[in-house]
Amino acid sequence: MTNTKRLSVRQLCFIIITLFSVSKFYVLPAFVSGLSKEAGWMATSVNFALDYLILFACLIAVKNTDKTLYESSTEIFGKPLTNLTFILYAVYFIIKAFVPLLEQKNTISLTFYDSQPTLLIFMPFFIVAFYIAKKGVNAFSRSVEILLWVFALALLIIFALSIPAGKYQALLPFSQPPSRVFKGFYGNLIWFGDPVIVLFLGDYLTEKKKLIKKCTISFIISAVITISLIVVFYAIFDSIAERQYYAPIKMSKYSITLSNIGRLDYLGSILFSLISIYSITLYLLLATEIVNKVFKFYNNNFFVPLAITTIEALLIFFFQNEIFTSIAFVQKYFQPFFIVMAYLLPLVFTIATVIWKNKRRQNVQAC
Amino acid sequence: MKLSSSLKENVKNISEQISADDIIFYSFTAGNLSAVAIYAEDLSDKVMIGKQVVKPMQEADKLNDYNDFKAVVNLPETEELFTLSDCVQKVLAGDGVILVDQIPVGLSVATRKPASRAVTEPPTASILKGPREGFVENAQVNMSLVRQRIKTPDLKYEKLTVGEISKTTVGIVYIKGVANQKTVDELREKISKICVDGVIDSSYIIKSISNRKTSMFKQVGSTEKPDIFSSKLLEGRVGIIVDGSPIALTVPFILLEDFQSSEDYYINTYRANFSRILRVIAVIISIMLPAFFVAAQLFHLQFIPLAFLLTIVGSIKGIPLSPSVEMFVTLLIFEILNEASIRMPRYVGIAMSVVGALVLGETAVNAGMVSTPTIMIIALSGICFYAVPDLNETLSVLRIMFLTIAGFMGGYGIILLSAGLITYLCAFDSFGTPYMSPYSPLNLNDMQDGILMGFYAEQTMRPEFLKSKNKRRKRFD
Repeated sequence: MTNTKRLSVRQLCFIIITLFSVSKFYVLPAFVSGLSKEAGWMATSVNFALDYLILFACLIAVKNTDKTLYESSTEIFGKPLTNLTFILYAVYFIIKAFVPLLEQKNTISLTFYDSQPTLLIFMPFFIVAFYIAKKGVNAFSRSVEILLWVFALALLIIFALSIPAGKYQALLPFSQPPSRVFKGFYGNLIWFGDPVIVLFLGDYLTEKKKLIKKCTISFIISAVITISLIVVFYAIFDSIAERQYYAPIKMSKYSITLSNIGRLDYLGSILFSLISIYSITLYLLLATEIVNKVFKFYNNNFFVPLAITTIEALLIFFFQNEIFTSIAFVQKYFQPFFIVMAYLLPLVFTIATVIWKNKRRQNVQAC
Repeated sequence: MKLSSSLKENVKNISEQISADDIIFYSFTAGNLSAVAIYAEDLSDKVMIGKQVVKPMQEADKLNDYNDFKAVVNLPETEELFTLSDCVQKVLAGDGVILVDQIPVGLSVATRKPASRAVTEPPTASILKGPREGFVENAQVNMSLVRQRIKTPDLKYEKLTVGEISKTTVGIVYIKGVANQKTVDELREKISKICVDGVIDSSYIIKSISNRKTSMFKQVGSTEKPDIFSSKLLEGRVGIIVDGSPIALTVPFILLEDFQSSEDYYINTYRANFSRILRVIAVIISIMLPAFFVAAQLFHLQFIPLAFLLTIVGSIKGIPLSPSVEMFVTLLIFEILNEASIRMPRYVGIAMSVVGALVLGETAVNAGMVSTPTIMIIALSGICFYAVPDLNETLSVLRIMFLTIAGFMGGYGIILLSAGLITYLCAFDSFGTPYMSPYSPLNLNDMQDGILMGFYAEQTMRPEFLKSKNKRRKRFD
């Protein structure tokens, strides 16, 4: 493991707390409110519960092996199948980054700028994304340690300004039909499925002490933050919540407008945008690492991040103004692919790892 | 080339190599033999050479070999010299060299007396409370100031010679058992590998031992104060003292060090914490404020509270320049004034302030060339700039970068540049120590002397990021 590829359990926990949450802050609250109404937070809770199962499976897989994911997979499934699966994961991460990228682009364009800015204002994002992806996991994980403080400050600002404005009886009644919860759960799947990231980041862990315990606590914190945001969001907007996209910028504006102290809430949104850059780049970074692994580009990590960020930039260039059509397209055509990559394959891999390990142990004992 | 038994030949060869008027060849008779004392007039103590070396040798009865004439010299620091180049080097370093006829060995005597100013308070690190001594240009004096504070046999001072022509003495200073030996070895190796004509100042060393040679961020700590230097050695850092420079260096270096002041440890902890927070805020203001103001004016008017917005609108009415150009030009004028005021004679400084503040500032506002908020923001940014003087070289470049990107892209440009900057700083290591320690990687123990500092009595452990063998500051156990 080179010097640029180190990750501690603490850093992994910070990634789970900050980056897993922030990607769900923009469009998801409005979408889930549209599908599940006041049961939105329940639907999200079910999403988190399912995600936790996958996280737990991934953590067991990571904990049970001293080899990298690629090596273990090659040992169990053979090289051709491993390479194919890894390439599919690279594609998955590129597509997975597409929706948050569109969200980020539209948040910036529609909320921060008085007049619609040109695409050129957003495009430098890809230069920064390329730079972060090129710098590798070590620099990325260290950056997240700084971002945790930024995230805490942003949350404090947004929650402090929005919590008093909520009418929490809007969330009643608590007993909701399961179909409504399921509708929200299934409709939101494209925003979830992040735990598979842990499977890939597990390769860079320098130690695995208390890995499952610490990651579980971090995941719970992440879930609580996101669900709280959805609760407060729905309590503020009630029946019109489904039309209030880019939640952080919308939910805290009332207290600001009334007190006329300037748009202090923008500060929180700016900080969330900063964290979002890393949240999106994490997918690109992982895609880069996967391509490097499969094609053995260990010493040439300049062109791969460049190629991946260029593909992403082209996607944004062509679909920049079609955020909701694009989200609907991804939901319609890529949801099964997402389910396989984010939920099914990690489970298959974990089960295979455990069986393989037991089998090997039995062989050793037999010898 | 080895020294010969012939004094005439040796003197001839040496005088050919260093034929300068300030190199003195003083001939005398030592016992029954001819001898020559060679020394540099301005670097050596000629009284000492006369009284402690020449006179005893003249009074000696008989001198047969090197041991005989070494025995009569009344100085503790002597060295045998076998080659001409060694003799030349010693003379040029300020030592006296004694050559005696029929003896093919020279004797160097430590009689260095280089010109040195008095130990005074350094102008770049004035404090209200605490020691006022500052380093001078003489490495020996500087080392004595350190020894005065750390009286332990474990305080090591290793001398290296750097510079093909200048032959400057560069000393590595560390406390054995406290400093990480890996850092000492790495530093020694890096200094040994420096290949330059001359080392005029310690900044030459900084450029040579830095990992990222093109970076605008400091990678080596620097101080003019022996108390700061000593406390850093006690923490486990390794110091560098360069002969001819009043600025001593320390490695590893982390960004946080620039926000720490020696005074923080001498004053009330609450006040020290408040000062540190102020420094952080000042740095953020100095870099970001001009950029945010331009971005707000150009792209995000909704950022500005209404009452303030109306004031700004009133003051920018009729200004011919766009907000970004206006800010940029004002900043440029500020930087020129700054540059000029540092280098101009002191007595012109007052006139300069009048010209800068009144003539340029006031008149420009009255003439409608620039707006009052712009002047205020540049002034505030300029004042904040000096809250952390060690960072001002970097801050001035960052301020221009942020301002330029804010002018082109607005707030999102600032966010992107911040992300790039965070990643850049987090990817940075100084002698194996993460540059953003103790915040990234996070270390709660090391945060006791972070932006918020704990009480001194509670700071029992040395910083973990320095990987010191001796982890406990106070040997309680």
